[in-house]
Amino acid sequence: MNPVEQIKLQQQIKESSEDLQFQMKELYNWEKRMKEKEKKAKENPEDADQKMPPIRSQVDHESLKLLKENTKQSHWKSKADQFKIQGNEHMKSGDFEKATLSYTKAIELYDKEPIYYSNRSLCHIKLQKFNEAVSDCDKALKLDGKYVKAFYRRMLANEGLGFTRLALEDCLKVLEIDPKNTEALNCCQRLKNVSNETTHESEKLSKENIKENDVKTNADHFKNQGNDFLKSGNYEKAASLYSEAIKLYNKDPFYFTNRSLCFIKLEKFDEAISDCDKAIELDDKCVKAYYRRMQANECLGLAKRALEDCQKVIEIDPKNSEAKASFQRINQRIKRYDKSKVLTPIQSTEDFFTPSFTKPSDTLIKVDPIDKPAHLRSKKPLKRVDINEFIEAKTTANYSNIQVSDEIIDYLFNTGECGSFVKEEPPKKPKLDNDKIKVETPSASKSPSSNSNSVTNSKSLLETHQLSNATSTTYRLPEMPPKSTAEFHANWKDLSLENKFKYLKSIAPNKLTSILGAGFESDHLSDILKILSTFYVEENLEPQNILGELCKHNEISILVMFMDELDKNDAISKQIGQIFLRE
Amino acid sequence: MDKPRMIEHIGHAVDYTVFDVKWIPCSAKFAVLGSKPKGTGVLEIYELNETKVDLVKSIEKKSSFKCGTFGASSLRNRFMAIGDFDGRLQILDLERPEIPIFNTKAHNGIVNAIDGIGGTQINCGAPEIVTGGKDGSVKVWDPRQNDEPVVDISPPESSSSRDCWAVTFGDSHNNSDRVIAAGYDNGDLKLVDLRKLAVRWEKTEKNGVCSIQFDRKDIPMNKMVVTTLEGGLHVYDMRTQHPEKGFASVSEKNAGRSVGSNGVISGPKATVWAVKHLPQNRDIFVTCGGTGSLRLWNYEYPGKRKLKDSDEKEYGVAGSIYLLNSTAISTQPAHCFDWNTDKMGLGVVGAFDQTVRVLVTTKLNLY
Repeated sequence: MNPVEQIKLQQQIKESSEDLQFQMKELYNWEKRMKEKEKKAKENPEDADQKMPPIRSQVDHESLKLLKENTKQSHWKSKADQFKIQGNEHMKSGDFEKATLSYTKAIELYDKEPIYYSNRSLCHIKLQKFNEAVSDCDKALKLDGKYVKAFYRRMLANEGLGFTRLALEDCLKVLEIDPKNTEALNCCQRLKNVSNETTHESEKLSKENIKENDVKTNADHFKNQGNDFLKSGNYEKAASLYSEAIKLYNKDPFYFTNRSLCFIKLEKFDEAISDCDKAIELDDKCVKAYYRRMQANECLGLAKRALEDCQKVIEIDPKNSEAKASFQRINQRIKRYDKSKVLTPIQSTEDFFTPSFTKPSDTLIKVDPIDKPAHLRSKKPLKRVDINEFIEAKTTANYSNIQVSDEIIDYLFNTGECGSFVKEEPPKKPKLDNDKIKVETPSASKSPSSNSNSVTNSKSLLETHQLSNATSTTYRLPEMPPKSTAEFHANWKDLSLENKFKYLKSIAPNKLTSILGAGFESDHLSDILKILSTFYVEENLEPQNILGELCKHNEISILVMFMDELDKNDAISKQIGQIFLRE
Repeated sequence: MDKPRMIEHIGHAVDYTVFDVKWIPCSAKFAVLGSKPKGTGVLEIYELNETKVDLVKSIEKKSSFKCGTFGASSLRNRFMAIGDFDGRLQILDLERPEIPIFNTKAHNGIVNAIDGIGGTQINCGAPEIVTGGKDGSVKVWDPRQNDEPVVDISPPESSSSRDCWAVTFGDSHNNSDRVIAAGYDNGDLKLVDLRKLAVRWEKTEKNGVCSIQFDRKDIPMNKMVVTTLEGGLHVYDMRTQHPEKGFASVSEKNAGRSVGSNGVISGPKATVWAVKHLPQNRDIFVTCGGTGSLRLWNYEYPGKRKLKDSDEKEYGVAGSIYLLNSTAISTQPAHCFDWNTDKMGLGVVGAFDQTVRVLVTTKLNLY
C-alpha cells in the first residue's frame, strides 16, 4: 500500500468516525425530544374516535341476507309462475273460473308480482265481477305504479260499474304512460262523450243547484227590497241593495238590469252600460238589458251604439213599440249629424296647417338624437360635420289674401278639447286648399336678399346647389374685378368655389391685401387655401404670389391660429402654414 | 465508502428467546416479544437511553408470544396485537397490559405471522389485523368485532393443510381496496383481494415463504418483496399484472448467505428470515439472514415499467436490486427486524442468540 492510499484510508476512517459521532449525537437529541413528546401526549388523552369505515363482515352479512332473501323469493316466484302459466292456459280456453283459481294460488305463493293481479282482474271482468277486478287492479298498481295493463283493466271495470269519470281518469293515465295506445284513445273518446252527457248534467246540477237555490232566495230578498226603493224613487238605496243581491248571487241578469236602471236614473251612464254588458253576458236575449244600454248610450250621445242596441231589442222583441219609437228617434238624430258633419279637428289641421318645412328628399338622411349613458359613449374625439342648409325656393303665397276665419283660429286654440266640437265650415276653405301656406324657417326669412326675385341664399361651401333655374343665374361671376373691400365681400360669399377661383384670379395679386381689408376672416382664408390647393395646382399656377400677398395682411397671424384641422391636414395648406409660420 | 453502513449501537441480552421486535410508534421505545424457557410469553418494553436501553415494562402471559403489530392501533393508543403459540390473538393496551382488550382464539396452533393496518392512516380503510396460523388459515380481524374474523381464508378441511408463515396487507389506498399477501411453507404465495374476496394471483416459490412485505401498505401496489428458505429473495413489480404471466420479478439467490472476510460468499444457503422496507425510502429494504447477517438493498426501477406484448396486453418489467451493505451481527440467525418510523436508519433486530440490538445506519439520506 503506497503512502497516498494509506493517507486516504486514514482520512476515510476519520471521516466515517466523525460521521458516526455526529449521528450518535443526533440520536441522543432525538431520544430526548421523543421522551418529551411522549410526556405531552400522555397529558392530553386522545380525542374522540375518528369516523371509521364499517366492519367488513357486517357489511358482508347484510348483503348476504339480501342475497338469501332474494334467492328465497325467486324460489317462491318460480313456483307461482307455474300457477300463472296454468291460469293463462285456462284463460285461453275460456275457463275464467279455473283461471281465477290458479291466479289466486300464484298470489298466495308470491304476492309481489303485479302481473298475477292484473291477470286475475281480467278474469273478474270477464266474469262481470267488476268490484273484485277494481281491487285487484289497485293492488297491481300499488306494486307497479306504471303498469299500463292494470290501468286499462281498471278502466274497463269502472266502465262496467258505470263510473264513467273514474274510467276516464284511468284512461287518461294509460294515455299518459303509453300515448300511442289506440285502444285507449278510442275508449277515451267514447268515455268523454258519455261523461259529457251524464256527468255534467246529472252530477253537477244535482250538487250545485241545491246550494245555488239557497243563495238565490236570499239574493231575491234583496232584489225585492231594491224594487220597492226603486218605485219610491230612492235610486241610490235601490242600487246598493241590488249590489248586495249581486254579491250573493251573480248569475241573475235581472239584478244587473235593475241596477243599471238605477244608474241611468242617477245619470251614471258608464256604470249602467257595464251592468248591461254583464247582464247580456249572462243572458244574451235579455231585452231589458239591451234597452237600458240603448238608453245609456243615447244619453251619452253615442248614437250609433244606441242604434245597434235598439236594433237588437227589436230583433228580439219585434212588437216593442217603445223600441220602435226610439229607433226612429235615434235614426233621425244620426241623419242630422250626417248633414251637419264637420271636419274633425284632426282632419282640418292636416288639411290646412301642415308646417311648410321642406319635404325630406331622398338624399337626406334622418339623424335621430342618440341618448346613451356616459359609459357607453364612444371615447373617440368628436368629428366635425359640415351642416349645410337647404331651403328650396318656393313660390311664395300672397299672405295678404288669406283670410282666416275666427272659427279656424278658435279651432287652433281649442284643439285639446275639440273631441265633441261641432263647427261650421269655414268660408275661405277652398282658397286655402289651393295655395300652400308657408312658414319660413327663421334663417330663411331673416335674409331678404338684395335680389328682388329671390328669397334663397346659400352659405354652403362645397355643395353644388340644385337651385331653381330662376335663381341660379344670379350667381354669375362678376365681370369686373372688385375695386373695393365691400364689393369683394359682397360678391365673394355668394359665389361657388369655382367662380371664387376665377374671381380671385381676376384680382391682381398686389392689390389682394388691400381688397381683403379688415373683413378678411378665417372663412375667407380657408376658401382661398382650398382654391389654391385644388385649382391652382390643377392649372399649374403658382400660388406663391397669392400666399406672399396674404402674408402681408395684418390679420394673417391670428387667422392662421384659427385654421382648423381640416385645413391643416391639407398637404398644400401645410406648406402654406409653414410659410406663414416662417413669417 | 459513500455507502451506508449498519452499525450496532446497543446490544442487550435477555433471558428468553426473542421472537419479535417492534418500535412503539412516536417514541424512543421498542417492544420485545419472546418466550421464556418454561413456555410463558413475555413482552418487554425498552427505552433508549443514550448508550444503553432501560427496561420500562415487562409483562408475562401464559403462552409464548410469537408475533405482534401496532398497525391497527392509533399512534396514541398503542394497542399491540399479539399472536401466541396457543393460537390466541390478543390486543393489549401497553398502559394497562393486565387485561387484554381483545382476546380470541384465532388459530389452531401457533400464530405464525401477524400484520395490522388502518390504525394510523386516515382514509385507507378500517383498522384490521391479519393473522396466519399453523393450521394454514389466514384470518382478518376487526378490533371492533371480538368473536369472529371478518374474513376467513381457510383451506378445505379434507386436504392436508399447509403452514402459513407470512401474511401482510397492501394496496389499501382507499376505504374499500385492500389485499392480503400470504406465504406458505410449501412456497405458495397468494394474493387475496379483500374487496372481491377472491384470490387475485397465485405463485409457488421454490422454497417456503418466510416473509412478505409491500414497500408501502397504503398506496396502490408498487413493489412486494418475498423471502424464502435457502436464501431466496424476490422483488415483484406489482404495478402491472399480466393475465397469464402475472407480476414481473427480480430474484437474488444468495441473500441469506454470509459474506466472508474477503467478500466471497460462502457457507450454506441460509434462510432469509425477514424483510423490512425503510419507512423513509420505499426502495431501500433490509433482509435478515440465517447466518446472522443483515443486508441492505436498493431497488432500481427499469427504464420502462410497462411494456405491451403481441396481444397488446401490458406486462410489468422488473428492475434490479443492488446490495448496499452487509453486516454480520450474530452467529445465530437474525430473524426479526423493525425500522423506526421517526428516526431514519434507526433499527432494532432480534436474533436467536437471545440478544436485541439497536442499529444505526449512516448515509441513508444519500438515497
